[in-house]
Amino acid sequence: MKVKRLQRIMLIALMLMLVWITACSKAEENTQSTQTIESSATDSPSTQAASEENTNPLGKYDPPITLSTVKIFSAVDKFAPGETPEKNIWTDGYLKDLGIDMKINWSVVGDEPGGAGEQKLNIAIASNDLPDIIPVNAKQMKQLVDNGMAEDLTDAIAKYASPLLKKFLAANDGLALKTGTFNGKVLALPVPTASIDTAAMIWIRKDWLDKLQLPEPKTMSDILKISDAFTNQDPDGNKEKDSFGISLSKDLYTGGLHELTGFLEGYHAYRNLWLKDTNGRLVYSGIQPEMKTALAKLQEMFKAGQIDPEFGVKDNGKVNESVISGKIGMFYGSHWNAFWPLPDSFKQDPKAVWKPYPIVSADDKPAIPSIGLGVNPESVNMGYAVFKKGSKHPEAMIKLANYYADKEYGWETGGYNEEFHQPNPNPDGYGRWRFAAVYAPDPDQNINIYRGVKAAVENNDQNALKNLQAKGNYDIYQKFIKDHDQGSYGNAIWAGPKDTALSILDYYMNNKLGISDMFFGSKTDTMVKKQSTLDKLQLETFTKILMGAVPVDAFDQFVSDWKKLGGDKMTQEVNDWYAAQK
Amino acid sequence: MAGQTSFSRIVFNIFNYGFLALLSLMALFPFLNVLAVSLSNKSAAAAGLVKLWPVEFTFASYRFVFLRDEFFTALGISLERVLLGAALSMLVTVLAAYPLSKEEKAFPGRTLYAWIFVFTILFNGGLIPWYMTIKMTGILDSLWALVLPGAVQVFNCLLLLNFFRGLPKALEEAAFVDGANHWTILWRIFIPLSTPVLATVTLFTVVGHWNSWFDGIILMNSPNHYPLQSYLQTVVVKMNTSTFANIDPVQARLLSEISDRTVKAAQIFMATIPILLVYPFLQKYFMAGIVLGSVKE
Repeated sequence: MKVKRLQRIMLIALMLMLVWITACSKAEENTQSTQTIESSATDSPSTQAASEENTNPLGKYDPPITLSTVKIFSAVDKFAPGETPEKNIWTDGYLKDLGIDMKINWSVVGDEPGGAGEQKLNIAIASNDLPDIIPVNAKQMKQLVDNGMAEDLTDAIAKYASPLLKKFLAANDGLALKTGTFNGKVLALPVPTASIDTAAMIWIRKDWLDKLQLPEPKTMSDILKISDAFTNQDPDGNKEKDSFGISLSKDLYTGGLHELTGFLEGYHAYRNLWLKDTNGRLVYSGIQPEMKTALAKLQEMFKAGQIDPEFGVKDNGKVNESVISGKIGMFYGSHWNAFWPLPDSFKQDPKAVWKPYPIVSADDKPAIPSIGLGVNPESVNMGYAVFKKGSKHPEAMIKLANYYADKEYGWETGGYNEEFHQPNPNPDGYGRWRFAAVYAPDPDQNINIYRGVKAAVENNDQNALKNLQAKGNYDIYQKFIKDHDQGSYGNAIWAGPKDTALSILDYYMNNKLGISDMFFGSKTDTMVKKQSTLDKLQLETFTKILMGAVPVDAFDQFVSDWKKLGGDKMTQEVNDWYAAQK
Repeated sequence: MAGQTSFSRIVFNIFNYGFLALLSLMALFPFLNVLAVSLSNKSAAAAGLVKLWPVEFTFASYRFVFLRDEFFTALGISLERVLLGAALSMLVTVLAAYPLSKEEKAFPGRTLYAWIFVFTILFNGGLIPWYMTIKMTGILDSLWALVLPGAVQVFNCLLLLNFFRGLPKALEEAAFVDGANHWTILWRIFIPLSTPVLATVTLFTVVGHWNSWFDGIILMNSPNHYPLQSYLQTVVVKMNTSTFANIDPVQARLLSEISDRTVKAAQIFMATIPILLVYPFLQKYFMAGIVLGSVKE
């Protein structure tokens, strides 16, 4: 009897479980289908209204429309308790001011290339489970365009873009918008970024230079001398030969920190640009003879012990340890190094004085840093926004971009509201701007901050502080001058008036130094197939040459391999594209 | 046995134990390092000065983690997942293994069924079909999405199946003579006799559920619904700095917090504790279970 009962209980339990599972799924389906019915019902009347009504860049939909998107956050983002991707100041504002009810289909943390966000979005694309507004990187943009899943935005931008947004998009010759244009149609709205922000610079411990009585770097030979002195003359004064001349991470020439881009540019060698040669054809910069010269120098430095022999297994965070603990006093990097890792160095040793320098040249021609296209093609969150083909109201995405520009930069229009950027006061460093569905940052944001701070400090120009971002940094700078506190250090050496990260970018801009990729089309067929292999080959070969595992002449072998393995075909395709642009 | 005390034997033992000790130390060092970092001062950790002993001992990181809800929300979801997932998985695995352990005579088509199961070890539909199936089942963004898709662990099923076949047939026959049916035989004879292998398989399942993070990230629609390992993945994730150039100044200020290794280390360490606690108690079964299950008679 007992057995029978047990058996029955088991069966009932199983049945219950099955019922439960199916019931769960049913319920969800039902809510989903009613949702779509609802949203399509509310959609239809307002479509007509919109087409008849004016083209006010911030016009409100009445009755409200429903749009969906997904949010990809970075591991850095922190939000105040109670503020969620689904409900926050932005979604409230969208509904109140624009009449747009923004639904967040999903959100994920991890916006780095190849990270969780990109993977989840790839799955969404492959399974055609897309929201109306899709944030994508360049690769995914091409995928959506190739599959006819991107709505044409040309008219919407022309009609609805606010003056502010138009200004942002026109920066840098409107190159950003061109990268989102296919056959004359704008199929993706780029997130405009400052092209100059990717320019390389040199960070050096000024206190070490002074201690060893070295001159500030003017040429590459100065750099080589400094590197030698930092290795052999015991800059940290512990009577041990435990320091290195220059830092390097395993990524070699990418990452914007502990890398060689700026070093190579001192020899007029560029890692991965398509540049015009003397015959007017586009050629790949990574295989040019200048590169060989630079690599030979690096090999010498490595053999002389000026580079950490373990660099091949160290990522940026690991190399930072050497910088913070005072074993490395010079590195090539970018403007944001002011925030990472330098504040940690300041905290560990307040006597460490870091000073940035523009990149220097090996000969009488000036060294020109490579700069971006005004859009970040690798970022899945801050790259492009695509509107799903077939969804209603593509112009709503432009309105959302207008709204962002207005709330973040509208000091002229009166739309500016700091509450949208971050809570005020904000001791915990919470962010809010990352909740926005569409971004339209000012590409000149950082340089304007610098110029504002400089004008205020040097000429006491109060008018310059009308830009509230400049004012924020000005206040922090003043606090640092007074308190020398660690919390203000990063901003102070970033935006301060003299010898700071942004002052270097300002120098580049004022002297019109900067060279960008002349190929800004979407990836060609051969690139899609071969580029990752070729990139790997390049990184491996360069690393081996640098470490002396192969002689410098291995570079010639690399060049011919590169050409054979698809490089020649890529060059052809790029030049075909170039010819079509004229 | 005579060789037990011979010279060569002693030398062998010295080297053998020395080698094994070295091996276990190698496994232990990373743990000690993480523990030491979690108990150290922030800037000392950032400068890479912490090796096996904390520098400027502090509990600050643990205090920080304890004050944040995210860690404990995720821990709760993970515990729920492990309990529900292991229970469900064990149930269906036992129920599948029992009939498949019978002979072709008793269960016509048994071999075919067994091969169908094995087929799924060798081939699978791939990520996208997997995702779409789960989505269309309507369990996306719920605990069921983490538990149901992997409920039938075919490898565990085979372990169990082999173990069942190793049990004396006479037991089963005697039970039939006494009037028992299959349910009785399974619950009252097979299960009690199979505790070693069941413990092993349970451990596999529990550890599997505890450690998996990828499905959490793909199947959950909000970071608030992540199990612990998915949450940790977002916290501990490697910095990829190539998109930093256009960073916002406010966000840039947070960068220095990322280098906060001590908090990461504290979270990693706390996440390993539960599994570290389970292992010693199941270990004795663990060895017996694997050996017995793998030998056929």
